[in-house]
This record gives sequence, C-alpha cells and structure tokens, in this order.
Amino acid sequence: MSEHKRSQLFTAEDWWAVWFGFLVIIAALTGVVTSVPKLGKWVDNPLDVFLIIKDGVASGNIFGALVVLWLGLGVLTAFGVWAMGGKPWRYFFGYSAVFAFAVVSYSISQQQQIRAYGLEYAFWGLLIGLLISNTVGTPGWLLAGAKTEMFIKTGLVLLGAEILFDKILKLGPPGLFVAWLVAPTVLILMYIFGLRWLKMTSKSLVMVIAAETSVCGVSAAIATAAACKAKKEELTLAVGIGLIFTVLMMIAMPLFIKAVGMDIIIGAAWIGGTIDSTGAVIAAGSMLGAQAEKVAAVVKMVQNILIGVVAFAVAVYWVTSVERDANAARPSAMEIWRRMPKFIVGFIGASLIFSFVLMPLFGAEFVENRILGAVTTNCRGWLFCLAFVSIGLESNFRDLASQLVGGKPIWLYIVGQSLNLVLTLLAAWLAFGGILFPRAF
Amino acid sequence: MPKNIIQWIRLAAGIALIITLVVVLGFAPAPRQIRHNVANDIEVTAKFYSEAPAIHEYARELEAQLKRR
Repeated sequence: MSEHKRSQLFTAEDWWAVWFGFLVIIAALTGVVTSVPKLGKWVDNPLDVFLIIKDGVASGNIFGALVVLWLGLGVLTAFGVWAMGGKPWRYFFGYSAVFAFAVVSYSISQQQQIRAYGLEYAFWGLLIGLLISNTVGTPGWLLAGAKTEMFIKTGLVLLGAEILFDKILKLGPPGLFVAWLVAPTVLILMYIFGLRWLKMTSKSLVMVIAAETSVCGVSAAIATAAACKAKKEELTLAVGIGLIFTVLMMIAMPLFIKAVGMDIIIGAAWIGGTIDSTGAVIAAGSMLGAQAEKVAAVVKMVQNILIGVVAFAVAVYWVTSVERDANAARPSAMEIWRRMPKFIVGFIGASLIFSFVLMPLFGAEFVENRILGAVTTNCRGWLFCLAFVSIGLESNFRDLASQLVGGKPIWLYIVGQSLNLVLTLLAAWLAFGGILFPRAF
Repeated sequence: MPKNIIQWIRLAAGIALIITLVVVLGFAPAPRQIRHNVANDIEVTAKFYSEAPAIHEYARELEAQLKRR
C-alpha cells in the first residue's frame, strides 16, 4: 500500500467515519458496550426523559449512562479530530455544548403529543442551532465542536447495519413491486423535472429533495446529501420541507382513504409507498386497522433498503457525470474509487455484513435486540441529533433563503410527491388488489 | 440600541417562540390522527426494521407459513 493511501486511511474524515462506525459495532458484538441510553417519554414533566421506567414504575435514571455516552463519543471523535490535524481539546469543549443542545432537542421530541406529530429531533435540533446562529451568532469555540460531516457519516455507517436485505427480501413480491418500481422512477423524473423544467441550478439540492420524497425522508436525504456532497443549507431545506409534509400526509391520507371507501389494503400500500418517515407510515396505517398497519410497514421497510442502493448510485453518478469535466475522458475504475465518498464503503459494508454474516451466524433475536436495538440504533440517533444541531449552528437564514428562490424547491417537492401519489396508487392497486399477485390478506 | 443587545433580545424572542411551539404542539387539542397515535402509543418517530413491531410480526407469520409448506 502506498504512503498516500495509508495516510488517507488515517487522515480522511470519510475513513474515520468508517472506523468509528465499525468500532461501535465491534464493541456491541463483543459485549464491551451493552447499551446506549435512549431518552424516555414525557407527558408534562420534561425531566421524566431521564427516568428508566419498568412496568410503569421508575426504577432508576440514565444520568450516568448519558455521561458515559458524552465522554465515550467525545473521546472517540476527539481522537479522530487529532489524527486529522485538529485541536482535540478545543473540539471537545465545543462538542460538549453541542451534546447538551442535542439532549435538549431529543428531550423536546420525546413529549408524548409531539412524538405523535412525528416532529423528530432533527426538527428541534435544527431549530435550536438556527436560533443561536441567527441571533447571537455561533461563537468560534462552539463551531469547533460542530463536526457535522463526521457525525453524519459515522451515523450513516451505523444506519447501514439496520438495513437488513435478507429479511426484507423474504417479505414478498407485492411490497417489492410497489416500493422498488415507483421510488426510483419518481427519483429520476423529479431530478429531470427540477433541472429541465424548474431550471434549478443546484443539482445536489434537486437530488436531495428527490431522494427525500421518493425513498424515505430524513435518512435518505442525509445519505444522498453526503453522497452528492450537498451543502448543509440544501439538506436543511429538504429535511424541513419533508418533515412538514409528512405530518400533513400522515393526518390526511387515512382520512381520504376512509372517505372515498378505498380498499384498506391498497390504501395501506399507498401510504407505505408515499409517506416519507417509517414511523409516520406505521401511524397512518394503524388508522386503517392492524392488517393495514402491517402492509404499510412492509412496503415502507422494503423501500428503506433503497437508501443504500440510491446513495451508492448517486455517489457513482456524481463522480462519473456531474463532477466530470465535459471535455475529459470517462474516468477509470481507479479514478471513480479515488473520488467516491468512502463512508459509502462502511455504509454498504455494514448492511451486507449484518444481513449475510451476523444474522445467519448469531440469529435475528441477538442481532436485532442486543446489537441494533440496544446499541447501534440509539448511537446513530445521537449522532444524527448532534449533526442536526451542528447544521443549525453552521447555517444562517440568508443562505437558507437563497436556496428558496421563487419557491422552486417547494414546487419540486409538491409536483414530485403528487407524481409519487399517483404512481404508487396505481402500483398498489396492481400489486395488492389481486391483479398481478394473489391477494395475501 | 447596541447591536449585541438587539441580538440578545432576538435570542430571547426565539427561545420564547420555541417554548410556545412546544406548548402548542404538546398540550393544545390535536387532530384525531394525533390523538389516535397518543392513545395507542404509536412510535411515530420509529425508524427501520429494529423498531417496527408490525414488520416483526409479519416476518414471523411469513416464516411460519414457509415452514408449513
């Protein structure tokens, strides 16, 4: 291995994201880390988020675990900052404040009724970060801890572990038909519509909104934004538009399905293929009954796998087409590899290892509960929360407003989502209405 | 007024806005879908396979069907 490659492995942020992600996974597999704290729910007392509730009774608190998480994540990432040539103490000081804001954002999102609206920590994290950066301004010491890219990419490697190909592929052709046929079609058509019809100048903004709308909301937006090197303001805008429309669709779609007397299984598949967030899909599906909730969940889960496929395809497309000089020759495989965002390797690698090695080796129960449920999912949640607070701290309303020229991003979302609604309804009728496949329910 | 005082007033107004938003969304009467979610304790912020009970149940049903065949 050349000197250059060796240094890249230990100096590039993308590679550090891979090391951090796999370190967390190995720590969970070997039992070094058995759980990562998750904030509890609260109704009228915000401090209840720190309580551990068992059988309706408080049996302890998570203060100690939160301190360990703050220190553990902080020391780990500070080491990476040091290896990349930064100042670890300065980073750690800023990171500690970002972590505190992340706890506040997460706590707000855990209020019972706010949870029911589906306004996630991403929304509150952005809001708090934007509030500071647009009023008193983000001080330098705080900015030093706002390592957005590092948090996002490490979180994405852990997200890869949650995308389990093997199980989802067993869930049947109808779900695959609805999710895998419509989502890529809508993504490509939205991209063309945004660039050719709306004449939007930022290709990365169009791509992030298209992935956000067609695949699965915040997670797809984050993964695609990292793959096409989108600006932070572009990700903020895509996530903001998506979150608001998700709440509206979660409320309106079950009401519409009931009002027009649509077959609830077709309606559920329609919900699963169109509403962005997984949780909101399950919530909307449950309004139609238990069977409908399952169908909606299945379609959404099958669609979720596309995150990995889409992120990889977008990264390759960006390297080979968007970033390529029009007069330059087609880049070689080595050149594509050199320019490819390396966190993708960790993201896809984690997904494949979990799907085809760990699940068969250790069993679904162990992997889902002890590794994913207890450690990596919670850790990923904290990293994304840190990332959204950081994005808010680094953004200002002027830059955000500049992305909104003529409301084009909102039109792109509305037109894309309308197309998504029509195509998914057609696919749901074909797949779940007994036309192409026998009815399972 | 000095610029930094205006900035602090803006920060205070922003904090008041966030608190108002939390109070309105968290405690004001909500639409039926939201009340349904609260009553059934539905994880609207749930993510992916590991947190979705519906898919676990369906996967188990499907595996049982496959074994029976």
